[in-house]
Amino acid sequence: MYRKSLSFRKYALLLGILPAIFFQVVFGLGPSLATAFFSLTDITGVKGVEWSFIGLDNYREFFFQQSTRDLIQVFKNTFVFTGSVTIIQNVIALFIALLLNNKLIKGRNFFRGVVFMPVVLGVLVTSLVMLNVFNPMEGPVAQLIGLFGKTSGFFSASKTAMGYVIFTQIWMAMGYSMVINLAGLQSIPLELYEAGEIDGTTRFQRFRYITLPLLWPTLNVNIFLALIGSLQAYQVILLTTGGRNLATQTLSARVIYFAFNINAGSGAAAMRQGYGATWAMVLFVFIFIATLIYQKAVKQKEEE
Amino acid sequence: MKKNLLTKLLVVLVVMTLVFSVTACDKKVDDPNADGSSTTDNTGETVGTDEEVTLKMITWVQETNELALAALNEAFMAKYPNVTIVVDTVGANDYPTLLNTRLAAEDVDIVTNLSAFDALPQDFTIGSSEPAWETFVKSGAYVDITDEAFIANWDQGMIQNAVSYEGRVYGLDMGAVGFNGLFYNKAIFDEYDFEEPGTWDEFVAICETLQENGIAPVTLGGQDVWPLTAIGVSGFVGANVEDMTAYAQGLWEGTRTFTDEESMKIWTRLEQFVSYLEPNVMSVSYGDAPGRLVSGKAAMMYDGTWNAGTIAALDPEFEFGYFCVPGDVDGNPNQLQGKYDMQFNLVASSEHVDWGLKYFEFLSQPENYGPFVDVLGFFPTMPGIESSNEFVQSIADKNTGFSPAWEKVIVPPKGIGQYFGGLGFVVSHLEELGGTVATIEELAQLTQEDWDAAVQAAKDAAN
Repeated sequence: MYRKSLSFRKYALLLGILPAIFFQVVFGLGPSLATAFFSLTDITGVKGVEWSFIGLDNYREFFFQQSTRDLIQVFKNTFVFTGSVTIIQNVIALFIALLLNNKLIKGRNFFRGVVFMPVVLGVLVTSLVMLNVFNPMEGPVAQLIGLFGKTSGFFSASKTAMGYVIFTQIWMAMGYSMVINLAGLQSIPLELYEAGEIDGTTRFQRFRYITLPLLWPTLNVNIFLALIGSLQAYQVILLTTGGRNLATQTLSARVIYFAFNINAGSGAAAMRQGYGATWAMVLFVFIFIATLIYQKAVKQKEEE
Repeated sequence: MKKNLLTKLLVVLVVMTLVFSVTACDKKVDDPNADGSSTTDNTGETVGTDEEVTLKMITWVQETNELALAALNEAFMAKYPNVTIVVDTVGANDYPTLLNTRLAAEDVDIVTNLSAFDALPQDFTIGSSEPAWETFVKSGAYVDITDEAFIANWDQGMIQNAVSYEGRVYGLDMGAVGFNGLFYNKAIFDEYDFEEPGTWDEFVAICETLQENGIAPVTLGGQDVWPLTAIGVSGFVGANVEDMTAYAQGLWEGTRTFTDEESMKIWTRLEQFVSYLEPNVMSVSYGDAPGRLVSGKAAMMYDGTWNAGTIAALDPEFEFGYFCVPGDVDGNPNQLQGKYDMQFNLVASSEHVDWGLKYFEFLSQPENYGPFVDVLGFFPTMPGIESSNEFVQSIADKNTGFSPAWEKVIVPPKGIGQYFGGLGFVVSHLEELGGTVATIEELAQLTQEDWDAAVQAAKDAAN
């Protein structure tokens, strides 16, 4: 009887997780494996166009038949964008979370809502807001710096565009990191701070020796999410600079550029989804390596 | 045993997913003629007047195109009350994406295209990509209309050069446009006693005088980039290179470079032109540029002749003219270079191919095409139709030796770098325009490096 019940429970468990496995396979593993497969084909995405298996031709084109200088710039852009977003977003999110976790701040729930609002607004609205705020002709920031005799092309100048794209991404995603940090901060027992105060610790010492170590798992999650999120972010780039010049194109933006013929002009080739899939595979390797390095660093830190 | 069951379930799921993913991508190759070679064979649909039909059409945002299309569609719907035409539009930059996706989704009946069938790879353009239109034609996306009677109504030069592929006809181009020139504000020109410049020196003198008097000489839609790096570049190459086809071939074969004497002349003139652009011009959107010309924020605007209707619509009282980018010698007047514009293609996967053909037939009648092309402001491509568009008439003397612009001549190697861009001479990389390159000589050198690397890679790939 007991054995029968155990067996039923196992089947019930299996049945319970099957839908999740199904969706994970259909919408996660399946497309990923399909991307790997299509990276070995010349599929365009245009209905009716014959496509075939071309072996490693797309990879050959990626490494040997495109401008090396452009490829290096795309990798450099990816490093700059990912690194800046991950570091700055988490530092600011931690600072704001500490601030808004303080009971002395009046209306802190309101401020939490304000900081979180860009997450709710989404990438389209956020990008449009930023384009208007940083409109070089009539935008408020242009008028403000105009008072000091300065001008800037903001998103439209190659030199400054990446900085403003990074700013937009951070502004948009920082609320999410802050909320996770707040949850982490609220789970730290108050008794530890009280004990610290009795022992005569300073505010900084309490942060350094109580808050930071206990918040570390939460920070880890945040850093990891920001790292993956910024490596995959292409929407904010397309919506703010249109990806029209290489100055703001990252690996993920390049995937979309080739797969969907973005801004390619009337005489250009149609969509090249096979070649886009090749870029996606390179992006996958890039994310995989970044994740491994990060996890190794975290493990090392934990062992210390 | 149970572990085996789980493993089997997972394997089945993975296999099903992969099969689903792969079969979702239809590998079937449609014969271009199978769907679209004749009216009755396509769908078996009978053209009747009782059935309710909705024709879906897509085009790009352009004031006069949309106005002309609205009037034409209204006339068609008045003649066939059972037909409703729905037009979706997006900005010109996003139009290729819309075209790709709507064709893939089989969610459109009639499409318009920005250009004619051109920029085909040549014998010497090793390994260059086929243009999107060729991919679509080969895929059978467009109906073959070669045998339709209304083809005879059109200029056969246009039919042969702009809408034919391997001897078959796949579309109709609505007219010819030039894009190697600038619109100018006549009131400002009159105030300073300027005449349309016939030579580069005259153009420079006009710009210098305007700057001395605190007037920005030129504006353009820099934010969209192509008004400078596609049509702008085309104008300057056209004004300074006598035989553009030979020039393109020379670049491919290495007998010409972007740093040789003739090329440097183009560079330095573009550099000079950049110095006459209004401040922050790369932030002016294509849609906003005409307003800046009309409001007097700049005395001239670089653009194609197609945008005259937009300027006129902003202020009907505003007086403006158009001149071509001048070269060394006065062409008196210098001649337009450009392309066939606004091509109509009937989509083979449409459920209403017969009604689409009716629409094409309707458009091909002089009494319908005439008013349509008048609003468009194009040079007509139908014999016997004289444009009564005031602007088109005013520039008719610049259209006696019409020829394709640089954009329609140069075919770049695959994977070429950003400094070459699409057509070369991408002056938006200059620091003056927010780019990162300090001097024109440096930019010329970077462009040549991009070109050499891409041509060499193409040759290596071919061998």
